Amino acid sequence: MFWHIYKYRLKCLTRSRQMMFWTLLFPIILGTLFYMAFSNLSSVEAFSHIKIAVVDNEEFQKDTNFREALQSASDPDNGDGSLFDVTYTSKEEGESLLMGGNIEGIIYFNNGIKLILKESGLNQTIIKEFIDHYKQTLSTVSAIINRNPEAMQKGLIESSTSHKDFLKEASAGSSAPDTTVNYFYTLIAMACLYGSFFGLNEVTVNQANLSAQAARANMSPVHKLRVFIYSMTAAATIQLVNIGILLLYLTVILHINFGTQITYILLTCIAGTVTGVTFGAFIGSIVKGGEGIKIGILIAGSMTMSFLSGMMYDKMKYIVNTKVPVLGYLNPANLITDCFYSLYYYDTYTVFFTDILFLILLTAFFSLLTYLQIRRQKYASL
Amino acid sequence: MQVYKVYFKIIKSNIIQLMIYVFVFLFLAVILSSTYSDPIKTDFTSAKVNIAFINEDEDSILLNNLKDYLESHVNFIALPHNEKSLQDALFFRQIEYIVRIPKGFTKSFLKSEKVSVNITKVPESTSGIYMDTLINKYLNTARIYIESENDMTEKELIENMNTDLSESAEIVMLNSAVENDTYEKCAYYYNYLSYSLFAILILGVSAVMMVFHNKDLKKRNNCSPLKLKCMNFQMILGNFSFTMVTWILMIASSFILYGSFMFTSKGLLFIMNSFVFTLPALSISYLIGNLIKSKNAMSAVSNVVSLGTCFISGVFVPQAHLGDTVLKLASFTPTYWYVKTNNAIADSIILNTDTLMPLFYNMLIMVGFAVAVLVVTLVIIKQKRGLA
Amino acid sequence: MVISVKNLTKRYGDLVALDHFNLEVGEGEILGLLGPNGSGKTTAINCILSLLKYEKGSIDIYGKPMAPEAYDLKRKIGIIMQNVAVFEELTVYENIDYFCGLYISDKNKRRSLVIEAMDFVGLNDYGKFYPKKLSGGLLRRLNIACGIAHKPDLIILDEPTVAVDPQSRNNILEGIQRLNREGATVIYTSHYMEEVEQICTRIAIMDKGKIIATGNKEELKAMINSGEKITVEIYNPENRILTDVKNLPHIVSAFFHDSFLTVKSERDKNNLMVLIDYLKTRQIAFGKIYSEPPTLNDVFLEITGKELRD
Repeated sequence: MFWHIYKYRLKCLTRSRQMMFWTLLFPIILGTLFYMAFSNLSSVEAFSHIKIAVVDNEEFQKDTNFREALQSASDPDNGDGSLFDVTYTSKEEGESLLMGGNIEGIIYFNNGIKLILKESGLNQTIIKEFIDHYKQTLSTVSAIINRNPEAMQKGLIESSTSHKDFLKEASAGSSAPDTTVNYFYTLIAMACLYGSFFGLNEVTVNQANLSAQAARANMSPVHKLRVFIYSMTAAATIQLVNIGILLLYLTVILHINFGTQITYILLTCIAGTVTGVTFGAFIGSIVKGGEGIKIGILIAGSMTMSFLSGMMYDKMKYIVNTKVPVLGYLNPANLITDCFYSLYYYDTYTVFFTDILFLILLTAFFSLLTYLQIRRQKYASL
Repeated sequence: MQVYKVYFKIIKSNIIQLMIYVFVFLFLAVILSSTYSDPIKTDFTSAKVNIAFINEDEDSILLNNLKDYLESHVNFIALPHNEKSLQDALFFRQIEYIVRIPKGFTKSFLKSEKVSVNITKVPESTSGIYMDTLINKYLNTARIYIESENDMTEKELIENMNTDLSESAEIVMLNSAVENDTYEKCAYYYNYLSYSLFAILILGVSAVMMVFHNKDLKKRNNCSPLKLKCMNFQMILGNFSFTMVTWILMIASSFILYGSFMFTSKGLLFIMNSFVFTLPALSISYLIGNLIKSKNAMSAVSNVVSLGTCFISGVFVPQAHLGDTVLKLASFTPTYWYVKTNNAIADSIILNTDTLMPLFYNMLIMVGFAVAVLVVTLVIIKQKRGLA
Repeated sequence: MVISVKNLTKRYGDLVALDHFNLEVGEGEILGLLGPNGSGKTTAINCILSLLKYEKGSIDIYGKPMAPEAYDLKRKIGIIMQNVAVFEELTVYENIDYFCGLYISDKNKRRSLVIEAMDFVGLNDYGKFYPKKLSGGLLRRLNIACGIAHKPDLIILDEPTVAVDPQSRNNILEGIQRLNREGATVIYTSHYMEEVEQICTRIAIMDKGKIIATGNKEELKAMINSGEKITVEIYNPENRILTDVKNLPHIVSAFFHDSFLTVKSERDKNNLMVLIDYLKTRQIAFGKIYSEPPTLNDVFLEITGKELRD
């Protein structure tokens, strides 16, 4: 009996073009769009050489120290110390480059070093910081000579021109904090919640007051709950396959980084799928009203939950988790996203297993309330 | 005007689905007007980076001074000092840099022993490089003093350093025009408008087309005494009225949000651009309405087309942040040209023939889209009729 | 007794849908449950099937109380609901196979039953069709095939011919009679009196949640006073004619409806010749004449004072 019902439910659900579109094709399309829109986003943040112009006049030529400093700051072989891409120009030429947006600032010697800028920003601040640094070092050196003229002989020049790196970098987590991956994690969460359409459908075809097919199935000599559980198994199977395809698409085709713990990733997919499908059954059984209203609630619900886990605005997840952590634990989309996030980023599994636990609790809650509604075999009206 | 009346009856029966998009748009518009509220200043301001500063060492003068020095270059964000909240904050860019001073740092540093500050940053980021420079500069300045003079007290050292570090470059700002962030916000508003407008037009027009293309109804209509020409005329009138109503509805709230700005030449350019955009949007909606057959397909197509064009054309993610390939692809959609024009309107400092011509050129491209898609649609309609 | 329902009472809020409904159905019968829309036919069926809760009453099927868990009873029942209950995503064959599979696990046995059911309703050429591609009549036949494929002993059909073309309707009615000949007991609800008269061995007439009369069609028609009904088209209807006609022998009632005079006679009396004679002698001009034997509608009309159909 299990295989009979399971097989036919699989057939029904996979042949429902509308449901397959929203649970499989739509997330893939959205994923592709995310990919296209975000693929360049992390490079916006990444440092690239700042283009500057230096007005090549007499005063500049005289300042050998500055020229040397600039030389080393624009030397591509200088690793982290390499900041600038320098063009030597006349003042007018430089200004037209600046106005045309080809460079970010002009260093101009005219009774001292001046920095000509068009707007404020991080790159501009870095150019300013470079000049500040030069002037500050000069000030340091002259201060020391004033106090102690012999210092010159004791290697002050060497000391002042050598640059020591006092920083030791520790990585933030097990992977780089690449914000864009979170968008793809929320996408999977959304897809999991869209599995609720399957759950809703199974309730509809098993509750005699919701559909004629259900009345017919209810009249058969098979226990209603058995039919329902077999149908839900079929729904979960399809949704799991859909999520699997989505995951493969994201990792293999779009090269989104999900970390390497495949077992845990699959565990998340299974937990997310089951939560999504039971969520749909829960809404289908407790909400009174037509199918249109229920679908409306499911879409609005999944979208709100996805929004709160950062699908439209990545910082939303952070805001919710720091300001209203309870909401984060009650939101299945956030829990699924957080599972992937913690697998990607944390070295420990505490957060991951907490999330999984809450997903299981939510599933249990949805299932229990669905059961309380479904176990009724006689209806007040059809 | 029977057909015309029916047109709006069908629209009315789909009103809830259509209104969802209006509300989504209004929601976004309100959110937008509450963010980006910092006016762009014309004098130079140093960029400030959000960082977490954790001192595990003693409260030494050297370190307190470092903190004071950084104060003018960064925002210190107070966070619980546990690993997870720091990691989370860094991931979601609540902070971009973590400074951790190890125990015993000051003592070893003053003795010129080999020590280092632990830092965590967003790899390869500009803000990371900036922070690296700042901290290294401070510590190197201190180093030079320590290496050269053995008899300096910590206090003396700090005083000297602060004199040095107060040296700064002279800045000349080239741009004297007063900029107003209303431009920017308004451009965002109008960019987002394309999403909802497109979705509503596709849904509305295809909902009507589907009813009129219903086989039985088509037969009955063809048998009615109404001339085909007259019917088509009413349909076209219906399409245009619906488009105009939608357009007016969408731009109406910009008058509330941005007030008199909408009557400046830039504001009028935004309005004009959005109007031109409705033409290709309508003609694409008409094409889609002629191609699809079911209600389910309708919501699928409207979602995918409106979301898709907006994503690749720089509505949700600014065009400047999109890759070249994506933009090339996007240039085959009218949305790209629409967004491009909006951005150009916002960016232009003065409006003259030189700056206006490219804008009108973009609008012409949109009209071109409208005509091309309409021609394709008419060919399809003709072929279908031939088959029937 | 196949079905025995006693004092079944069901309310929807203030509305009493079934009011001490009593029904007995014997083995081998085709029982027609006839009543206007809203008389409680479908509610009665759903209560009998234990799909609906009810306030009061007892329902026994094959001598055992009916309940949702009475799987041995459910195994013997086949239902055909008013609404078409098939899956859009499954083909004709798959739909029948799915529902049949809920009763019969043996695959080979099931295959022959499904094919037999398709033969039975004349859908053999449509096995691979999806319901969407079927016309209204064929869809109804599929609906029936899904309900009877497992060869139930008791078949309950709730208005299976609503919105069906005459050809499919005949196919369906003949099918019901054939199932009955093969040994099934049938309960058939309808508001089409012609259908019920045509196929039912016994008829129960329902109104306002009660059975108001039962019997075969002859018995039912024997319950009422009026017999033949004559309708004459009279070009100049005058009240004088009415009084005269009412004075003719064996006339129960006479009235004008526009220019049509309707005359009802007593049971087993024939008044046609008398009436024509009267019109002739008075030289009253008349057109068409119809003479009809009493129908179930007349039975219903006489008992309840209203027409069977709205």
